[in-house]
Amino acid sequence: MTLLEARHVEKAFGRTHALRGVSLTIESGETVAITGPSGSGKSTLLHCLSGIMSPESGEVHYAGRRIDDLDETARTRLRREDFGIVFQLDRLVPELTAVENVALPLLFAGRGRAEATTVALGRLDEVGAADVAESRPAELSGGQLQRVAIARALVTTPKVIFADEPTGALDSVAGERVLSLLMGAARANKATVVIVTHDNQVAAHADREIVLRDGALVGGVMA
Amino acid sequence: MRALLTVAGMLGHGGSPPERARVRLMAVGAALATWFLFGAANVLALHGQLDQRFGPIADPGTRGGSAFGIALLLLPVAAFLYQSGRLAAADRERRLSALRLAGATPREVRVLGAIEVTRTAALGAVVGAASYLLLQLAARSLLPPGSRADVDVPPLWGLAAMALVIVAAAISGMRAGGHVIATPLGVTRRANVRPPRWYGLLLLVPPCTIYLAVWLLAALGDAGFFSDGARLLMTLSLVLVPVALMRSAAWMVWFAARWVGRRAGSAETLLAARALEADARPWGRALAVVGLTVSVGTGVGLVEADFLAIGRHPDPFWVTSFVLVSLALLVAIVVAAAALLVHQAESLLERGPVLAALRAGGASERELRRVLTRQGLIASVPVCGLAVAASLVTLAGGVAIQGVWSLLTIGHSLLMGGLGVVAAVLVTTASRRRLRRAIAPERLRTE
Amino acid sequence: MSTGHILLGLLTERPKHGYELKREHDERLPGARPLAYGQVYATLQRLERDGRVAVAGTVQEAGPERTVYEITEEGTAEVRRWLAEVEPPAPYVSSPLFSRVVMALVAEGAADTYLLRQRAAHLERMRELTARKRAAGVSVGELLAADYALHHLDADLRWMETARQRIDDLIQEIRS
Repeated sequence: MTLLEARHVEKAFGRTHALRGVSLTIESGETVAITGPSGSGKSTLLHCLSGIMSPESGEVHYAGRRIDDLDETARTRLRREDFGIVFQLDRLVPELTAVENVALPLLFAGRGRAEATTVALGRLDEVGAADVAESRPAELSGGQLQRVAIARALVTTPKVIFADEPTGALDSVAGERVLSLLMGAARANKATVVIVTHDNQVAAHADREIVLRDGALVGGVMA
Repeated sequence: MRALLTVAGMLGHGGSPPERARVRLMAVGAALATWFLFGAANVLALHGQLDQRFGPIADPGTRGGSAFGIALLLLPVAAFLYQSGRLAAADRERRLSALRLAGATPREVRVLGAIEVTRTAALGAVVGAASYLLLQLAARSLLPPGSRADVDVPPLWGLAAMALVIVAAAISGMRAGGHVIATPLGVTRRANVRPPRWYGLLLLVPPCTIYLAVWLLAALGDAGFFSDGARLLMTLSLVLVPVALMRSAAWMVWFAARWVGRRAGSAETLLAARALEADARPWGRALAVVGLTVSVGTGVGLVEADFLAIGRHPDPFWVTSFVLVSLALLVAIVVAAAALLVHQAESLLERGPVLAALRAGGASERELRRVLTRQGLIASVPVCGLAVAASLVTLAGGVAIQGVWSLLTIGHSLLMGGLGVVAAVLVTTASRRRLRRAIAPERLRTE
Repeated sequence: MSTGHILLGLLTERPKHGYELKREHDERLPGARPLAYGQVYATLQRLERDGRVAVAGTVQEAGPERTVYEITEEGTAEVRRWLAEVEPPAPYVSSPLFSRVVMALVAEGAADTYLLRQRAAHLERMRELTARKRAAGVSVGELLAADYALHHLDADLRWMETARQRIDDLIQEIRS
């Protein structure tokens, strides 16, 4: 079943065309890597697919519903309820402890603090970061930070997990560990995964590769 | 030294937009400080008795106090200057420390930094002095010919005031960058882990004890036989109230944030409280000024109510005085709010990527805006609340004998406190556009 | 590097017989081609002739009687000497991948489609290796072998991307 679909998506920042007519489909439950050299538009594609931004033209469909023309409120709700997002390092709230960071999406969704904390602790345990629950981001190593970020993305049991260079600043062994965790957790939760990366070894963790070059798709679209 | 000046001249043309904003804001702060110092000097330069409508500056006896009152407005300006100096301090340090790679010694870099801030401060002082003199010229044309109010700022005093502003602004500007540490290879932020101190609150103990005791004695019917010494002690202890409020504002902000953070049930409150807990000092600095205005405002309210209570028709002297003091309080709150606004801009600039990531993860812009508003509330409510309470307790004796008019004093105090809270919240509302820019998806781009 | 050095290395742990050596070789170097028993036997005889191993006795397990070899002092010295050397950094430009790209340019004037197909094939192999690393109970040897292959395939992919950009630049230059 097709879960995510882009049809002729175009996006420009000022004069530079970030995406020029990208079309693709992502099946439910598959893991896809979007690769390409820097500046190829892969992050922009991720932002369009996840409803963080709207393309200038073209359509984005999720679960049979067009999402690019939804208003910001509806897209916010979609991101909150159906999507989980993992960024590079340094995107956790620095003043909050790890467990509070993980609980945040639940709190935004209106759950009580005690309940959110319990769920968050469970997720931290799942990614092997239960021991740093009370630490603040500045006290954590790169690998621990990414574990917490993954726990935060997973905490609402999302249907799709988007990851933007999730191993960006980690050495290869730590990066692989984090990636295996992400993939394992996604599989356990039957979530679809979309990873943006410039690293071929990261791409090899996904079922399929989508290659972007200068904002357009090249090859790799065959499953 | 000549080479350094050349480099400083070259550097003057560069800088990121926030850095240029810092230069402008610091110049405005220096100009304001010059204004108030000129105003105070102008008052002191007056001679003889003037028309009663001039209020507190009409009488030679109250001129010293008036000049001091105007000079007190330097407090919020100092907070504003300091906060402006911190704006984009990381950018500045990065730019300057890059010179180290080009062969500059640490001392030369410090001198270059000093030249930069001094230049900005001097620009502000000159603009302030010029605009003051122009406005004075215009105002004096309205005075009847031969008026005794027609006096200049003594040139020597004026120059001294400008020099003072330049030196103070330059020192403040240099110290404002202290939270970032620069090496030739990069800039790191120094985490200020030490929470603010609470000792300032101790200063509230003497006035509150003394006045509660007096109140109690009055209630027992034993009032009215205080010696002059006791009265002087009571008056002196009053001064401790605003000092205590100013010294402990940062601690109160920190304490309230921690208290709320532990109990927060919603994401917005949690984020607001924790951010504030980590960042209590700047809020404390601005709110210290607000606390000061609340306690001074309560005193003014008491005097006003006294007049009305005894049914006296206030003469022009008092009317002008009340208006001027209220105006000064308003100016103080506005300048303090401006300092907060600058701080808010800096913190949004710095926290942009984190906030953008929160938004991407499903927090709406409205919710993030609520975080800012709650920050304003958590910080300002305790400071303003304590300011109202402490002021009313110490003035309780006076308030109690006013009968129904005491409502005016209490109302005035609450109004000032409310104004402080409203100002803090308004600041967060004013940061809306900046927040929107900070969380724009473009800020998420890493490639 | 030679099979002799590997067998000597394995014998530094304890005396072993020929079949044991073959099995351990295949287990610990999972990426390498499995050793033929005959080759093990021949190598051991050569090592014995050179005085680097000596017969330590025989054992009789379930099957036939087997000769157990132990490493000599001279053998130990030889392993040390071998480990102290470095592998000459070989220029791998004689790889068939490189030849194909150059020939694609010569014969077809472009290598883009070839490079894309090759990228897909490389990535498919990398996915297999990555999956193998994830399997339960994977040994350190298997992990190291998979890493080694993955890094080399990754290097190929990065070179292919650079090659594509260089060819693009060249074509642009010719056109303008």
